[in-house]
Amino acid sequence: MTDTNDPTASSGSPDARLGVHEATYLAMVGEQLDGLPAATRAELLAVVADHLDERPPALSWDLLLADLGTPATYAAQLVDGPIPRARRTPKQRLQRRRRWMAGLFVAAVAVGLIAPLISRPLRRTIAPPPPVHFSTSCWGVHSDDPRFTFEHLEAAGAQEYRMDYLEGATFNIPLCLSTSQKIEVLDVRAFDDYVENPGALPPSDPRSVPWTYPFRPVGLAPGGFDLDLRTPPTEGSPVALGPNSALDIDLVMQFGTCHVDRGSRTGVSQVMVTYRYDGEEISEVVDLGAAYSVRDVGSCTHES
Amino acid sequence: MREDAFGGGLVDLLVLAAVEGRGESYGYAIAQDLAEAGVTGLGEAAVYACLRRLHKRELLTSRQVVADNGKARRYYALTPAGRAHRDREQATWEATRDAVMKVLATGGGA
Repeated sequence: MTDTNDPTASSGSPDARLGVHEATYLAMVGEQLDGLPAATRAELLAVVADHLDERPPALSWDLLLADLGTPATYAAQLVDGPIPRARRTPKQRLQRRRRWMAGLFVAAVAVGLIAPLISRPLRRTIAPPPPVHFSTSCWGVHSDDPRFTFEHLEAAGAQEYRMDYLEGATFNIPLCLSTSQKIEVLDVRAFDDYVENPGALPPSDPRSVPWTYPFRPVGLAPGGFDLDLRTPPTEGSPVALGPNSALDIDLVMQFGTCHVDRGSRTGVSQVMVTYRYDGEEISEVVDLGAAYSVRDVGSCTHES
Repeated sequence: MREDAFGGGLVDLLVLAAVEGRGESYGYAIAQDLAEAGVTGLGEAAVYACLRRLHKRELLTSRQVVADNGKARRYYALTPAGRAHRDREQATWEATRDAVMKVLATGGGA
């Protein structure tokens, strides 16, 4: 861990630490602040980066907007007053005017082409595509890592895997993913359902160790994921998945530093699947067949 | 609570009190604490803007802690000036609250 008292410094580029949605949001807030002096703008963006880094990762762009508001709203709250509009140079004003003229021309041409088509008496109506439903059909954990042990619990049809581990331990969660429609799977990743206990040990307490992401997917590259032998590896390429097939994925998870935090619970019960369907790229949270939780109170230990 | 119910002094008081309550805290935890206490209508952005403002006025110190996986948190703590400001804002808020309660009870006046 590193510790810095410089309020304007941060370790590494904020964009490198942030997820896709958060990095995009940061950039859009930055655009809203373009009219401010450079130093003020940079300082405010550092604050925004801190905020986005400290929050749990957004499950979707829509949820991020629901939590934080639009970038314009956010920027207004930061500045607490009107944000001066960025001044344009004469060249920029001319370019803007030319873009407007070009846009008007294109719109006029488009209206001229489309009007005869929509005036036809017979029109085809396009039905919306059927929704995509996901399911997972296998569960369990396995590991060759001696630093990892687990206990399988079952009650009222619900399954839970409680795990004990030392820092750095890895384990695998099999994921048999199937879907109701034909899609292209772009990425699958897991994230923790960390629940912070208000009565947790304060960070200044020497018994507590900061812990932000206890699970870090290993082997899940942004463009692909590890597959078992039945499906060829397609790292960097989308994988077609249809209603009559299932995708077997082994999620390789690694425990980071742990947090001795009485009453806290963390675990994995969902994955996020990013896929392409009907020309759109969509990210969706899918429930796993079982919940995988870290036992609270004293189960997390450090290697000596 | 409605967002426009928050004057600058009240926001300062809430944020300072939330930081002081944990001894040291970071922005997202402060926002969560306030929300759990029933302080709705105060957006997370407003909390972070307040932290920045208080830090610039040297009412808060800060330190950034980066975990091994690269995620970072900026922890804030009150300075002595921050504690004095918190006490003043609380006195102001309590006086305002008492005046409002008096008006509601009696309609104001002597």
